[in-house]
Amino acid sequence: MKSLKKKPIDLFENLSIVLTGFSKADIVGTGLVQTYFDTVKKELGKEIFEAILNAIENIKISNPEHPSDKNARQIKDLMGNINFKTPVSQIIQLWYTGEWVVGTFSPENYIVSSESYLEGLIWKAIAAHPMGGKQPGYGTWGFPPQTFTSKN
Amino acid sequence: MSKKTEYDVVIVGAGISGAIVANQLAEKGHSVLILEAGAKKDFSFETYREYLNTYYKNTVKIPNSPYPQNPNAPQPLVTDVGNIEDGIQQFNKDSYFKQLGPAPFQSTYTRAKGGTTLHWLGTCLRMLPSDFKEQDLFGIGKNWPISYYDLMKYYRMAEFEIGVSADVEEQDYLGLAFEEGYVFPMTKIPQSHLDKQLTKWTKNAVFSYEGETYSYDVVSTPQGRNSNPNPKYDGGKGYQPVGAVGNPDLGQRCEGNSACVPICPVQAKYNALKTLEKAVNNGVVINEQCVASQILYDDDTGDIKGITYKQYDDIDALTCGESPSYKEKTITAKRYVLAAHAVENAKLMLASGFKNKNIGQNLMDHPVLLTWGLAPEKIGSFRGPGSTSGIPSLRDGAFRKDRSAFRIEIGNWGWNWPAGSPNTELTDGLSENLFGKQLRQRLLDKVQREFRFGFLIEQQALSNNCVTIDDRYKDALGNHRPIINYNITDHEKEGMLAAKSFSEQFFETIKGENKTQYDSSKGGYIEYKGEALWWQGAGHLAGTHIMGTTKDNSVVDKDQRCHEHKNLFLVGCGNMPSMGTSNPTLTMAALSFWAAENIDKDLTELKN
Amino acid sequence: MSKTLESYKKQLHDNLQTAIELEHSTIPPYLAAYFTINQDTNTFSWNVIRSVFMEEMLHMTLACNIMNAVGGHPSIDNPKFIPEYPTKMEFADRKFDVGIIKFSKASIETFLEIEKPSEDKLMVRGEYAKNLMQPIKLKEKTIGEFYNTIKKQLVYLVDTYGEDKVFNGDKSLQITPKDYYGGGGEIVVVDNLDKALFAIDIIVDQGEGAAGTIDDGDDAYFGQDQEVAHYFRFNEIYLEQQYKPTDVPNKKPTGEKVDVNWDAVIDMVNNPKASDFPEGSPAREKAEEFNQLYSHFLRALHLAFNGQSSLIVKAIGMMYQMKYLAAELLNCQVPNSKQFAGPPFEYIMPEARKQYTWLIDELIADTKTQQN
Repeated sequence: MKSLKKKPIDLFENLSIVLTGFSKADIVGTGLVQTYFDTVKKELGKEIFEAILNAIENIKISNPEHPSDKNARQIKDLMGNINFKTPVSQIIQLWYTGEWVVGTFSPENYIVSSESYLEGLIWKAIAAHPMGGKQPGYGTWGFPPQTFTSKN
Repeated sequence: MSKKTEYDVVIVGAGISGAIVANQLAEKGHSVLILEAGAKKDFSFETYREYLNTYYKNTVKIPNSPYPQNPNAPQPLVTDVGNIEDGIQQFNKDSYFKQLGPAPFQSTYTRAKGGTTLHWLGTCLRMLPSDFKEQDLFGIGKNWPISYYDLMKYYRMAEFEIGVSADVEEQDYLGLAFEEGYVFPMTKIPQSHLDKQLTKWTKNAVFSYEGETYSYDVVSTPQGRNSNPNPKYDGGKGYQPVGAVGNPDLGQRCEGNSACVPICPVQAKYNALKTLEKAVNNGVVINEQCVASQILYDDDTGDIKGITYKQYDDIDALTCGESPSYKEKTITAKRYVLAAHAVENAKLMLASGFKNKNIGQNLMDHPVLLTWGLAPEKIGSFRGPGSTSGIPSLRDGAFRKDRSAFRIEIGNWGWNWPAGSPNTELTDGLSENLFGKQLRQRLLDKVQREFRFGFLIEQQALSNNCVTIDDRYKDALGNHRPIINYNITDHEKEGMLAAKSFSEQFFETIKGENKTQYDSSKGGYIEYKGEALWWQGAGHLAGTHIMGTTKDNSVVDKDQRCHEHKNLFLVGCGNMPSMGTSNPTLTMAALSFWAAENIDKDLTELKN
Repeated sequence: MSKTLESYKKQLHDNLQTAIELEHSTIPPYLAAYFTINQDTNTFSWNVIRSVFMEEMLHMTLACNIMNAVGGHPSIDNPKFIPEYPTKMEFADRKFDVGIIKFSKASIETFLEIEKPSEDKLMVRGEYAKNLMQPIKLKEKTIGEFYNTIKKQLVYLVDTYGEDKVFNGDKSLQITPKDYYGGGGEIVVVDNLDKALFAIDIIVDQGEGAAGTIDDGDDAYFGQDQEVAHYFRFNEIYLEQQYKPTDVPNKKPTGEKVDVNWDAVIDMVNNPKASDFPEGSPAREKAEEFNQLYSHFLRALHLAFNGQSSLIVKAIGMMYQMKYLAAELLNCQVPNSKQFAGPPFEYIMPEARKQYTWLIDELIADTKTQQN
């Protein structure tokens, strides 16, 4: 990854923040940044992975937690790009579900680890908890749901 | 195993019914051996956690996902039922069942120590008194040789064993009677916020169908999961919740893990390991990795002479695809009990050349019509047990002569069952190139309003719905694979139409959005009277060796003993001539207590 | 006469408040050890520590029930309630630091100091009628001895003034058995001397062992499985060997060897503080969130122990959330360090609390209107 000015893992972290819509603290708090960096690099291959990191470096996102409208448009364009659409979706799915998704019900899909399933951001996004983990405690389901999001 | 010559009782199957019978008989001082087909597992909590980790890592979280497929004791999977292609239902070619249709049989069970209670939802409804005599009352299905009132005592025993949470004053509907002063071991599981909102939104409204009206009353469901012990239980003695096997501090209360099916991570939900552990402490021996293959009997007297089983080696060696190695053994006992599961019991008896023509017939399930939609506001889906309440008003009525009754289950986990939410919602968002906060917001706004109904349609016992065997279809150990013939009648489809109509009116009443849409390529899709319907299996397999009054109309008598084999008792849902609209486990557990009592009497007479 | 009773009662209330604070003060250190190990790689230790802090929650609740029974009011949501870690724990014969530190030999040593059993024979139930003693000063050698002092005070007051005058608290304030689960023992509803002494026996026996044994008494009291007391459970971890039922307190355990993986521990900084982490860092953000949640949790407990017992359900829900938040913190590396952040357990003043978890929405308004 010689062509990159910033450290690839930092770029990946920024990319992850902007793609998932979660804070840096939430992303780091999963403990999976390095694991997912390795997973994505292995699955996409060095070339595509580097191209994505390059693209994100070129976009120069000043604040990944609150991307500017321009940055948001640039990311949207990236997702619309035929070369990047699938890998970018795969990265989002990885963060949201802990699963590397090759295709719907593809036998090549796999969940990286028990932790990655339990840290799936989708559960936080829907104000719930992973099915089968991080139980909220007796009787809590009888209370009204969260009506506001956390600081993000 | 000690060098004793003969056990008093040999039981095939270490699921809930086998566990109950074993423990009851061991408590009475009888020696008991259980043959369990599943892989060898100890009672430690660490072993159980291996199941949990398997579940976490499984990409397709179906009911059997924590319990690995074992070629020595294969089990059906919901993914065995494929799509409908060119009007023809497809099946996965590796399926354990050989399905002959015409309708797909979509229910499964688990072949492991603890049985299907490892992944049951835990619903513990008693059957209604009318369900025991529906042929007399409605001209449908089959009567039981015993009544609800005969079973009440055993229902209480089952509710103790499983540890049922419910408030009795809410449960005495549609003729359900309880003894004066009876309370359940634990108070009801708190109802979900969804349940409470639906109660509020349907107040004073009614469902109208074919000139009749029915209430929308949302009633808390009795459940086999731990809640607050009721101090009034057992005449004021109270009740001590039973926690996890191997770690009893865990699972003292349901903690809302939202994964009852396929696996409760803390075992707050009952599973048969709890009864099995007690049984072992009472002296019961469990021989694992032993698949019963043949029941030997005397042609003249019908008496069982022994059970032949195949004891296979540890299964790790099997992954390389070699054929499994096993030893064949035969065991004898004074009394025999088949508790292997409705389908497995029938299969084993057929494979052993049993002559009773009813064996394998009358296979039943609850076809579940699913409907789903959005509540008018966020109701907090994906929290709590899979279902905490239902709507019982259509479980009984004169209409049962014309259409099936059904119980309405309110699902707390959004559209997880019918539509694969929340993952599918994510895929939808991604297909629109959404990302970041927009994606998050969309998921939150949508998923938090999701809920679904499951309409558990009563199915009649019919001879054409059956399990058979054929020597062409065998598993790796050379045991038969079940062949399934199955269909849905118009009587049941009429019930589905009423259910669909209920759902439509309901969403209108609560000012929600009905989002039910059936995909004609999905297994279980049918059209009836111009209406699209889609049903799934409930996992309530029953009726393959029903009880009755003679060998012509049944396999076992009211004592759960085979008409033609006096030293053989059958237990499990296979004995049930009808299920009504109740999930069958509680009733089956009650029958197991009843069977154990009869076996004990029989053995005691024999010994004296 | 009544003035004297009042002043004695004040002293008793102060002692019970100290008891509540004492029980609580052990929980964050125990939780820190618990959070830094994994259920699958340190199963034995994970189970032990979990069972101990669950029982500490029970002890705190029992102490609150006694307090309410004798007309006092537990005060939980106040800045003095939480010690600043590391804190000094002081007994008659020893003084030591208790801190928020990761699971280690050192942390277990501290836990052993906390739970050290009394060498003297403590008062047992039934003996009290003959014990007409003056209240004594609080300078004991063990927690058990400290509770023994409270016992003596209770007995003295009941003998002097009568049970009705001493146990005159509002009965509706009691927490009942249905509100506690997941650990050994059971909640005792306290409405007389006998129940109060029983509650204290549970606390002391679970911690130090019943009357000179290693046993925690739960089998005798509640028909639960036999289990050794906290001190001995910690000692099993420390010595990597289990006690046998026949073992005695002053000898080493002789049971099965125990697997303790001292290396499979998250390397958390000692006594983390939110302000130690740079502003804007994940560690800072999560640490502040944790402190917020923890303070809300104390509020919920305070209200639960002062009449709103249904809030226990929410408080337990918050404990679960604290666990998950702590796990996130322990994934946040401290900037310019190889170590990881951890849960600080710092008090946030009610006016500085934010609403960010659904569990506390209804508490917020309440906090603003009735600060104690």
